[in-house]
Amino acid sequence: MHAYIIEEKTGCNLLLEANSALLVKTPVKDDIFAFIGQEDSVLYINKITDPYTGKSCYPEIMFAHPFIENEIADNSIYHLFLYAKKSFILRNIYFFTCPANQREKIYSWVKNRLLHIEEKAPKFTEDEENMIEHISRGLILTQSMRYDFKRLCMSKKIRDGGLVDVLTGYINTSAGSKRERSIIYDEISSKLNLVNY
Amino acid sequence: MKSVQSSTSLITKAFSHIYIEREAENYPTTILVKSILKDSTIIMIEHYKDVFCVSGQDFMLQKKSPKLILAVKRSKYYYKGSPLCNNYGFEHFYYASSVMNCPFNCAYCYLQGMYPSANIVIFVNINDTLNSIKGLSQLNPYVSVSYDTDLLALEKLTGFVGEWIKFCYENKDITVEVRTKSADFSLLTPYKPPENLILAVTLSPDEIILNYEDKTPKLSSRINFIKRAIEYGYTPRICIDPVLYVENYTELYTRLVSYIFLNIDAKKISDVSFGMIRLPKDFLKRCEKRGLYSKIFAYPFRTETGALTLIHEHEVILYNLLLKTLSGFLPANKINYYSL
Repeated sequence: MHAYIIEEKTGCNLLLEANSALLVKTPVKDDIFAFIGQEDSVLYINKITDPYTGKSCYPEIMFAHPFIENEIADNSIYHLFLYAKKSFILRNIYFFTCPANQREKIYSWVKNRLLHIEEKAPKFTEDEENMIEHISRGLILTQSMRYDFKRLCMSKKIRDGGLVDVLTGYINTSAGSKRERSIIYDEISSKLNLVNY
Repeated sequence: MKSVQSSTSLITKAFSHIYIEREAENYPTTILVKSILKDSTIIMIEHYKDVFCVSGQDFMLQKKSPKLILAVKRSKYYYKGSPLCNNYGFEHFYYASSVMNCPFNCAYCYLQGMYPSANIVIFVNINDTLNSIKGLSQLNPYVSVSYDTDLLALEKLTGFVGEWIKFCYENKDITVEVRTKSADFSLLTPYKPPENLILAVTLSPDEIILNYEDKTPKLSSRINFIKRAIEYGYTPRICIDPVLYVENYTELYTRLVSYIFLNIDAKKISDVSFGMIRLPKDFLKRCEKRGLYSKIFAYPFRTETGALTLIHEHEVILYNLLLKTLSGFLPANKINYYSL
């Protein structure tokens, strides 16, 4: 995981700064975007208004923090938020203001956030991945069949905790024709779909 | 300006922030909510969709720390009931949506795939909804008012169930259903039970509550709620819905039905309604996109009239089980089954 921290400096163009940071490294899911603006007090921004249009956007305050919250009216910060929203999940976008000599507090909070990002999606083990790939190639599965096969395998894994027992029986199977592929694929699908409590 | 800090939890507490539409600011519900949630940070907004409908929200995390949005409903105060729901023989079946999203977090809930956000929207202009539904009285409709939420679970903040009860006193041609998993009956004691209000309580085996109905009261508390409701003059409906195909289903559902009628006099309830899990057709795709994974969804559903439900074999097994078990305690006219 990576944190993109954009700090406001006198005379800087915020969008250009952000763009440069994102060019160096493309953000991935769960990366963090943090902006630290120049102000005399440490504030966590919960509402940003564009003073020219009166439109507002709302950074989501999802994680506990020790900062004072407030809103801000600033055209360039408003557009920076919209820009960040294109590449980052809402809960991972943080906007602050802070005097230069107190930024350590914010760095430390963001660092702590990075340490506590949880991976929620269930994953195949390396063995399972290899078996799925091996069987897909042996049966010459089409792209849509491969997608469907992986989906069935994932359901089975979530339901029963594993799927090696089903896949093992097909590891050396190959299909010589579309018809043969269809018969074997139907058989493996029904085994993966079997729920019998 | 307020500080939100929690030393024990990484996420903010539920309702740490309340977003209030400017137009909603002076409604009694808004004033009530603000007086109860004194420590919450108030953020004024123009339109609830500016917060509720933005892209990139994390539904599951929001479920753990939902924010409250107070808004004014500007049109469409009621809708035609969904074909996925039982209309109990009423030709005119509607639902009113004065709250979007639920404080409970049931793993099988269709709301997970329905809204872009898990934050709870309360439409504070309940009187507009009540007035609009009054206009349906000549149709003798059945109106479900706790459809996209559990209204009673939010009663302390809204008082909306109380408003619906008062509405029932004056509109006897309209049958109102309040369905709930809540267990706090004291919220209803200020009101005399109206004849045209169906108090429907959803029950599940404790194992299912524990594993799939996060934040909801346990079975014994819900049973106590029903007992108090009966003592108070209600004739509640018991809903075993959705019925899930899970491990040990025979034992779980047999024990559930026995436990219900060990504690509740079958003559004192209106009926028991049960139905298999039913989900909108594109629900699973939306859940997958949002990173929602559950054992319940890792099931080979069948598609029936545009919705997902249990495969025939499992539906038949569970139907026979429930019907047989319930028939031991209730006459056939008090058992309601809904299927697609």
